Amino acid sequence: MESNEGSTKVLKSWTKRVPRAGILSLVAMAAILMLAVACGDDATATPGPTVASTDVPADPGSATPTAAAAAVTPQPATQPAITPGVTNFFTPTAVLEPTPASAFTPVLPTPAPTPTAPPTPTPTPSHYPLTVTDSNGEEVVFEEAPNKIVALDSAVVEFLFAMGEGDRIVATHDFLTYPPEAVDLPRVGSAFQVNAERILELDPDLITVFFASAVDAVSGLGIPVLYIETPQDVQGIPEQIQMWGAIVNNPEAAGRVTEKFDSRLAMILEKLADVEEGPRVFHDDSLFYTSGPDTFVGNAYTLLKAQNIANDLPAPYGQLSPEVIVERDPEVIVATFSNIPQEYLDNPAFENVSAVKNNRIPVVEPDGILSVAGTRFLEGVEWLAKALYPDLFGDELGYE
Amino acid sequence: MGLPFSIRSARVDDGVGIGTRPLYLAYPWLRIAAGVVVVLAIGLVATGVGSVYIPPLTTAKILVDNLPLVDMDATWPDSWDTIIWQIRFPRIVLAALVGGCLAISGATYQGLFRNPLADPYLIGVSAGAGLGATIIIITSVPFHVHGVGLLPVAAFGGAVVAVVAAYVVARRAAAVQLSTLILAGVAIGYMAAAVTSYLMIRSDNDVRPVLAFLLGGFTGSQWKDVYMVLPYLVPGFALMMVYGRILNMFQLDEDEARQLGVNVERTKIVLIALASLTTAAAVSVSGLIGFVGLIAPHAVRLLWGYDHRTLLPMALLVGATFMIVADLVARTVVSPSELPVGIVTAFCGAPFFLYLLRRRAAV
Repeated sequence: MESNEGSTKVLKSWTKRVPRAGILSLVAMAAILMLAVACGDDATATPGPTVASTDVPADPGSATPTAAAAAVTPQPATQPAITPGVTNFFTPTAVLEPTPASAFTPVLPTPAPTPTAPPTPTPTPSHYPLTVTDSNGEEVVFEEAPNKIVALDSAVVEFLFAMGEGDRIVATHDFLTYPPEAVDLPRVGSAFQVNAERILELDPDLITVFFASAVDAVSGLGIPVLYIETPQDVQGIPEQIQMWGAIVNNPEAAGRVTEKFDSRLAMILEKLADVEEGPRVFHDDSLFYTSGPDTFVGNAYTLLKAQNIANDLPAPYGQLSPEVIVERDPEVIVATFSNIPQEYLDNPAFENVSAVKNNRIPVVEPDGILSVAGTRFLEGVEWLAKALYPDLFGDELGYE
Repeated sequence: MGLPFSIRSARVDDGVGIGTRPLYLAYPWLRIAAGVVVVLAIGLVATGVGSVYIPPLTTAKILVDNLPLVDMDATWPDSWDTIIWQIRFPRIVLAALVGGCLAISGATYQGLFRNPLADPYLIGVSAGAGLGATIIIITSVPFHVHGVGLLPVAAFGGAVVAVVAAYVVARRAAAVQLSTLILAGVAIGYMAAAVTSYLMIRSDNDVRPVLAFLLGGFTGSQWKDVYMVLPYLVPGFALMMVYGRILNMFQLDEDEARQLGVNVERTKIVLIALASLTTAAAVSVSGLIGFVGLIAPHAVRLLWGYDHRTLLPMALLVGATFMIVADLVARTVVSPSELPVGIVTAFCGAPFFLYLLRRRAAV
């Protein structure tokens, strides 16, 4: 602050002597200086991870993660079929570590038999400090629920709005399209190009990203950064919802959202109970680029018992040779762009492929339901279920 | 073919003046005939190899069966016929045409500009085509109008517009300064590339198709693509080869060529138009495959000398062979997946070229 006043004085005395260009450059320099000062203030004001980590005794024992897993999973009974996948995925990437303040117990939505009755004692501030280990293994400590979140991750925006906590988000990324309430939020760039100045101007208390390369772009701003990767499969989504419920101190809402998510997913899977082997399917992101089994989309096909013909793709994601598509004869081709069906119909190489012969090349609609691992991904799974099993799920897709 | 070959071409021609190593020019047509045989043989072998295993004999039978007026008893599944005749073979034919086109256009540009760094993309073809394709992929312009794919049309149009713009800038008083043309082409190329990058970075669509175009490849190529480029490539190849002798004279100097009776300005405009049009046609169906157009002509020069009368046809054949092999690698090395062929051309071509350079340095 003092240095700031000093620079203003210098500026005033110089205005009498130096030419206009000099003044302008000085003003610009002063502005940069002020911004830097503001940035520095932020860094000291916010509880840096280092400060909080002293409170957290290093506890590498296996007991804590297990307790955490138990803590964030409200009703294990609601998702019996998928629980193993959940724990498998969740442990290595994003682990909720409760601080040893021993106060985290009341926070949990205690395994109440009915989720409609939330526990009456609302979480006390003793829930915090809360330590979240992000996908890089960095510990992010929350002294209180973040109130001004810059969410460079569509899924987080979906989670928080679904929980009714959307007003904690002050900005998102450039390409957000859902939910509608979030579309008017300020935009601060994309994963490739983050507008740091704009973020600083909004003075957030948390930046959340899902893209490893974006971490570097925002980590120098003196604002806590939470990097959580996209989960491996659909079942990973409820886990992340729980985590965000804990972070924003609203585990009841998180429980409700998770409950709804799980029950809708269970309904889909129930209908597939008698299906031994679903149709052969090729997922086309244009130019035969497709998702192998170890991807978020690929796991959705596995979940729906469909036979992804790209299951032996050497990389998680890549281009499948057209001759392999002809040989493996997919019964359904799921297209993610509207021009793709025409490409197949126009190419004589594919005229004997079942999906083309029977005109089963549905285009994912609306755009993006299969590309964001948020609450809406369930709509994507439902859409896929309809596309793959019109007999079981009704044929209201309107194949084109 | 109307090529001006004669026994006199056996005379050692050191027009460019780099190196005086022996040139094996006594019987150039033999070398060209051998090149044609090699291209055909490699093309046939490549047809038999792919992600889906089809026995070589069956491959041969399927090819014969698809010849006009031949009808064999099909003892193979229909899908194999489709794979050979609708997927692999047109793809190999197209790879040969595009590889040959890039190489002969590169040789023409290098000869015309007397610049070893010249390649077919030098004066804006690639950036213009890339911009045209990007506009189609990223904006809401439809991909198909009345069954015609707009992507190749836009790429071709973008390439031609870029070259014409560079030419107009470089043209002064009915003459075009070649160095100015290069600089103008490079500047226009940068501008188009900037717009392409801007469109990509501001797009919330998937930009993978744009990247795929910028890297180039033959995945999904069809006979349709072959038919689309043939009307440009075949006459273009023939005409460029006719200019071999004149290109030799160009190696001296523009003024000297003029004194030898060459219509310099007409040669320039004809060769620029031919090389640019054929390249534009090639990139419109294959994307921007790098390296071949730069390196194949140099490889031919290093191996067989500088005479453009043989350099041009040999560059065509070497480019075609190289592209067939590169595409074969691209579609089999990570089977059942594929790689963009541009990665393969550069990754495999560069070491070979370095080897040639070393070999020449040792001579």
